[in-house]
This record gives sequence, C-alpha cells and structure tokens, in this order.
Amino acid sequence: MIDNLWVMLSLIGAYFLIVLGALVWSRLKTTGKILPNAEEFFLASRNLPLPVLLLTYMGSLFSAFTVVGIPGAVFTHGAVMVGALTSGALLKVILIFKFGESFRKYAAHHKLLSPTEILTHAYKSKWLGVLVAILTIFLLSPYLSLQLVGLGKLLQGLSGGQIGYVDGVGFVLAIVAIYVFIGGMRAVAYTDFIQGIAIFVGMFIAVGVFIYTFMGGFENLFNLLATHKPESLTLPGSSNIYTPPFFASMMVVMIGIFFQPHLLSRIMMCKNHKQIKILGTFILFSPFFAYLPGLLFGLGATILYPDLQESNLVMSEVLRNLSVVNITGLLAVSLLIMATLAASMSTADSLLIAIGQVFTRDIVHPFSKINRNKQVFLAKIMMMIVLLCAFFIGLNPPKVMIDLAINSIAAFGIFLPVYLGFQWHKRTLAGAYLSVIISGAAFTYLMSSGIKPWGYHSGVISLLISILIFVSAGFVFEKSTIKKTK
Amino acid sequence: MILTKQTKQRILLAIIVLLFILPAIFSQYLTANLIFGIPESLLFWYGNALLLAICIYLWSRQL
Repeated sequence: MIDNLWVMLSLIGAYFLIVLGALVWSRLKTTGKILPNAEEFFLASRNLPLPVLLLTYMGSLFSAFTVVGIPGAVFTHGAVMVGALTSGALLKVILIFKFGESFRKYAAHHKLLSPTEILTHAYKSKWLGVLVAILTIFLLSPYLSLQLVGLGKLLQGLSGGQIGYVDGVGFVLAIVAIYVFIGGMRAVAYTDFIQGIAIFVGMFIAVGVFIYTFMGGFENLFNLLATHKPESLTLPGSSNIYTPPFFASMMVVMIGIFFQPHLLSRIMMCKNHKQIKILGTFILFSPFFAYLPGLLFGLGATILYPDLQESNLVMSEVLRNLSVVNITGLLAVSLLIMATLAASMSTADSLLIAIGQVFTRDIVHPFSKINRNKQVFLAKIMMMIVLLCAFFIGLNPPKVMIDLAINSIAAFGIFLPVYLGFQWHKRTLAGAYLSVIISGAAFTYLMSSGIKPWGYHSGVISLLISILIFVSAGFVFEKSTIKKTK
Repeated sequence: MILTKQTKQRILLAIIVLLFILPAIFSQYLTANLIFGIPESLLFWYGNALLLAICIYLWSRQL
C-alpha cells in the first residue's frame, strides 16, 4: 500500500499542467494562438523532434503494460511469454520498414490527417472510409474503457482500497480532458517522451534493487529458478503455453497493433523516409531493453511469492516490498508509479485523439465540408462523449466489453490487406468491402461462440480470410480494379 | 552473378521467414536452439529474437 498516493496524483496533475503550460506558451509565441489547428491537433504538424517521435511511438507500444502486465505474464507462463512477445513485436517492424514510407508519403502528399482517410482516398470511396472508421471507433472505445478500469484497479491496489474508481479515475480524467483538448497530439507526444525515460530509468533501478536485495544477485536468481522452477526458463513454459496456435496469436496481435490508428498516425507524423528508417530500427531493438526488467521482476516473483494466486497482483507486491527496502528503492518505486500512472493517462489521450480524428475526418468531413477549425471542435465534442461513456461503462464493465477490449487488438488484423494493398494495381473496392465485412463477421462469430478452429485464435483465422478474399477479388473483379493514384 | 537490390531483399526476407518465423510457429524450438545450441534458459529468447532483429535490420538496409 502506498500511503501518499493522492500526493503523487496531485504531482502528476501538476506535471501535466506544467508541460501543457510550456507548450501553450511556445505556441502562443510562434503562432499567436492558444488552441492548435487541425494538423497540429491531430498530427503535431508532422514536425516533432526525432527523439520525441521515437519515444511517443515506443510509449504507445510498451507504456503501462511493460510495468504491470509483463511481470504478471512471466509469473504465470515463464520467460517464454516474453520470447513470443518479442518475436511478434519484431514482425511488426517489418511492416514499418516495408509500408511505413508509402503511408507517410501518400498522407503528406494528399494532406491527409487520419489513417483511414488514406483508404477513402486510395479506394476512391467515402463509404469504405465510413465503414472502417465505424469499426475502428467500435474497437477502440472498449479498449479505452478497459484502460480506465485498469487505471482504477491500479489506484485501488496501490492505495489499499482508499482511492476508489470514481474519485481516482474521475480526477485523472479531468486532467486527461483538459490536457488533450488544449494540447493536442504534440502535448501527448512530449509527455510520452518524459514518461518513457522515467519508466525506463525507474524500471532498471528498481529491478537492480529488487534482484540484489531479495534474490542475492542475478546468479543466485537463476540458480534458484533452475532448482525450484526450471520450467519457468524452458519451452513450452510454466503453463505449457508455447504452442503453434499461441505463437500465431501473438503474431496476429502484434500485426493488429500496427493498424491501430494512434500508431499509424505516428507513422504519418514522420517528416521523411530517413525518420521512418530510424523509427523502425529503434522499435526493432527496443523490446530487448523494454521487456528485460519486467521479465526479471516476473522471474523473481515466482521464487519470492510462490503461493500468490492472482498474477495481476505481482507488481503491487513487488512495489510494496521494494518501497520499504531503502531510500533508492523508495525513490525508484515512486518514480515508477508516477510514470506508470502518467503513461496510462497518455495512452487514454492517444486513443481519444485517434477516435476524434477518425470520427471527424472519415465520418463527418467527407459528407459535410466544414472547415478544419470546426473539425477540431467537433472532434473534441466526440472525444468528450466517448470519454464519459467509457468512464460510466468502466463503473461496471459488462463481460462482453472486456472480451471485446482484450480481443480488439487482434481484430485490427482484418484491416491488413485493405491497408497494405492500398496501392496494389489489382485492388478493387468490392474486394476491400468484402474482406472487411466477411472477416469482421467471422471474427465476431468465432469470438462470441468461443470456437477456435484447430486451436487458433479468431484473429488468426479472420486475418487469413481477409487476405484470401482481398487477393481473390483482385483477380475475380479484374475489370473493376481502381486506377492507380500517385 | 551480381545480385540486384530486389533479389537481396527477397533472399533476406526468405531467410527471416524460413529460419526464424516458421520454426517458431510450427515447432517448439527456436532457431537459436537449433543452430547455436543456445540452451533453453534466459538467453533462449534473446538469442532467437536478436538474430531475427539483426536479419530484419540487414533487410531494411536494402529498402
């Protein structure tokens, strides 16, 4: 239990407001305006400094999950969990290298502000954009709600139940809303940058203190594991999880992440091809550092708390024990908690901007030519509605929402052929519609019925269906292929 | 024989898929175990994933 959590929350609030103040001050000096224009609000005017761009992409990928999720997963399944996650993450980088530049170039050339707008433009169809936009909002909203539920649980766990969902998450959301409405994407990117460094530093110091204080050093940790729980270090893992269907699911989840709009937007924010290459290389090697502390915490916890029943309590236990060891431990834990809470808030901000962006640019804008300032205003109203809905659903989340949120990342895989084939000379509108609708229906059916053909996750099957349909349509409807757009 | 840039890209991509991805999907072994005999320890995922990362990096340099 952390006694001074309200103090920490207030400090986080102050930190967000200071960053926001600095950004608004600099914006006022350069443009004479307090509020950002559309390109600044959605894409930070595509001119973020390179280190900020790299850390904001990395922050969207790893953030709070690295601190809270990985140790619990390693505790339950063994080191193999991180192995599969890393290999999957590397495959996503192939997509950044191979397709990132075409997305960036196309979006910049046509002055497009949202990833789905690329589809509307390339397939010359407003309604395809609307379909993908509605599905995107439908998949992102439960994910946002689950973020808030997770944040509430984290606050409750850390405060020993003293801070409830309504107080804690309500306070956090007020800051999230002010921050994102005034700051826009640039503000989110800057806090991602600061928190990314804080999480990285906090995790490495904390894991060092943890291993040396409780385990007697790295060598001793591995000796203990080899003696007491050797299966945590070997394939197929402590719970025999490492099977072909599991690995394939991991890969589909990682592929799905690439097509989430808040990550595609960050690719569109790159200035040139060189930045895409640097981003890809950075993301390629970052899991080796980002996952390491979580892996060690999880392995240490298997020795230290062998009777712990709930894996999601692993990190709370570790932090609680670390905070009373010595001053370094306490400082590392404080830094880590503040950075993790701040990272959850940034993730909520990123998702909100993505929802606002897709709603205005892909559902409203194609049918009603409102000016860009009004689009930003409309996006903020939509963001506010979604935020409030997510908050109230989070009070008592229905099971179907939790299932949907957990599976929603894998569901983004159904967009793979439509996005990757946006410049394919055989692409057809019919193929795009059919692949999204049929694979989406297959995903929904398999997920809701719990059927796993040959043990494979619904995301794997629906991804294969969407590719098959899209490619086949290119040959079947050959006469209606879309004329190439430069 | 002089290899074109595109051929080099394809060869590297084939290496990535054949050596690192397919064995990881269809067996319970990782290439690092098979080629280098890296034991199934903490290093097993570092070994495989790092090799995969290096291959992807080399491939990206051809793009």
